[in-house]
Amino acid sequence: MASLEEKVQRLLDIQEIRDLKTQYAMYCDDQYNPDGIASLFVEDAIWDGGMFGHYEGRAAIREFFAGASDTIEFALHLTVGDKIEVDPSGTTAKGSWYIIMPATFKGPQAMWCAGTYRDEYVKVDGKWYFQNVNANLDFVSPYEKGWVAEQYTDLE
Amino acid sequence: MPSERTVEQRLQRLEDIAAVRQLKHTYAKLMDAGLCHENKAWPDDRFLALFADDAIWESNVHGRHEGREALRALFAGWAARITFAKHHTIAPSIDIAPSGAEASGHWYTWETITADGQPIWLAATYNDDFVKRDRRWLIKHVRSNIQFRSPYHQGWAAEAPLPQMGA
Amino acid sequence: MSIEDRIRTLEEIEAVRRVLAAVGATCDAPYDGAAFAGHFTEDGVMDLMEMGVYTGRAAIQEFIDGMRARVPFTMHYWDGYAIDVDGAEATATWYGFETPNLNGTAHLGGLTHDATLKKIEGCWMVTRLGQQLHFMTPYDKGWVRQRVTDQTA
Repeated sequence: MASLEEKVQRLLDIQEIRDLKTQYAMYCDDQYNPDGIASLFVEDAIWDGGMFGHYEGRAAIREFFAGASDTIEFALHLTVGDKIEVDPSGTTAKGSWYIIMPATFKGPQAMWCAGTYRDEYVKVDGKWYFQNVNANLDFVSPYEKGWVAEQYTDLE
Repeated sequence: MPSERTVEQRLQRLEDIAAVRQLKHTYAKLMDAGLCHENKAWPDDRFLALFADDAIWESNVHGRHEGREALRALFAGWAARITFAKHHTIAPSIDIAPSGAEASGHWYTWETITADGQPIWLAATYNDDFVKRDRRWLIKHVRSNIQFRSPYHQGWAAEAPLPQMGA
Repeated sequence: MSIEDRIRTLEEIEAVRRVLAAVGATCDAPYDGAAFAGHFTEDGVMDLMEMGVYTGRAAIQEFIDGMRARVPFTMHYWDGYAIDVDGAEATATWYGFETPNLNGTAHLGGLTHDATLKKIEGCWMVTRLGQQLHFMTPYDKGWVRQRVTDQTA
């Protein structure tokens, strides 16, 4: 049975992890601000975005996002539907989210993107960071076509 | 919230809000996983276990369905037509009753669906009731007011507004 | 922070989220200008950028009730909140998608919002609500072909 102290801490941890994810979304909207995004990840973090690639380590993640706005000129990352489970240790957590994202890809081409995230978080010196972000995309579709006619656009 | 409540009671309320929110997000997640699955056997018992035995699911479009078996039939009908669904559950606003055993929740969903091979936008508001039984929150009554259910290539202005349920 | 202070922080974040959810719901069709404006302080400000700045409850209520004639249908999908509470003051930012029918055409709006709130007699009240419009596009065009439809016309 968790103590009062542990129960309060669990709720605060969930709140802080939600804030972490929102901060991530806002940095992504900000032309994929690479330093901002990198500051939310631990040194040995992994970011896996399926068709957008797999990057290991904060430096590689930073470098990927530094180039992301060459492909994605504009995007709004509406991130909702969180399910966050904090490990009883209080130092790691897992979360899942939905994202729906209107975007403008190089072209310019209006796009609808949607997917789900599976994340792992770790608490270091009292602050939560991403350990692992796994974005599973349901569709990355040109606006004129929708997700049935063209589920995944060709990024080349 | 009344400040004369004990720290334990206030914490319990926050935990209940978190649990009900989690329950609704589990509902969306399991429904979407079930509907998207290629070899679907959905609704499965895991999904139906989110509901109270006497739960009601109703909407302005689908009518009223009461009891777990009626819900099973309703959802199986969707599974037959829908091959892809994502319920983006937005803006949860949850009230825990003073008893701590009942709750209500309001939210929106913005759904992307493929039904009969066609892409569809579906937007709805929910006014749901929940009940806590054996220390577990369950869905008691789903009231879904569907605002539009529009073919992707058409958008939501072309159709006549759907009749809305009363509050 | 004591347990009590930490619980209070969580309660206040939840309370601010609820007020903003109520603000968002009352500017959905069929619009409830009185309820919407009732969440603002007497001298509250709603800054809609190109769509004007409205100061005070009466002006805010009039604008929202006036939507009924201009915009027969819309929904506000507000989420992705970042809320900071500091004593009796709070700030919030969030995302807003909108689905208005403008001039008989389905539109899709993508916005971000910000607000400041003050706790007065136990209630969180909005002192300022702002928005940044990223697109408000006719549905059949999309935000690349036409980023913004003029709503002031």
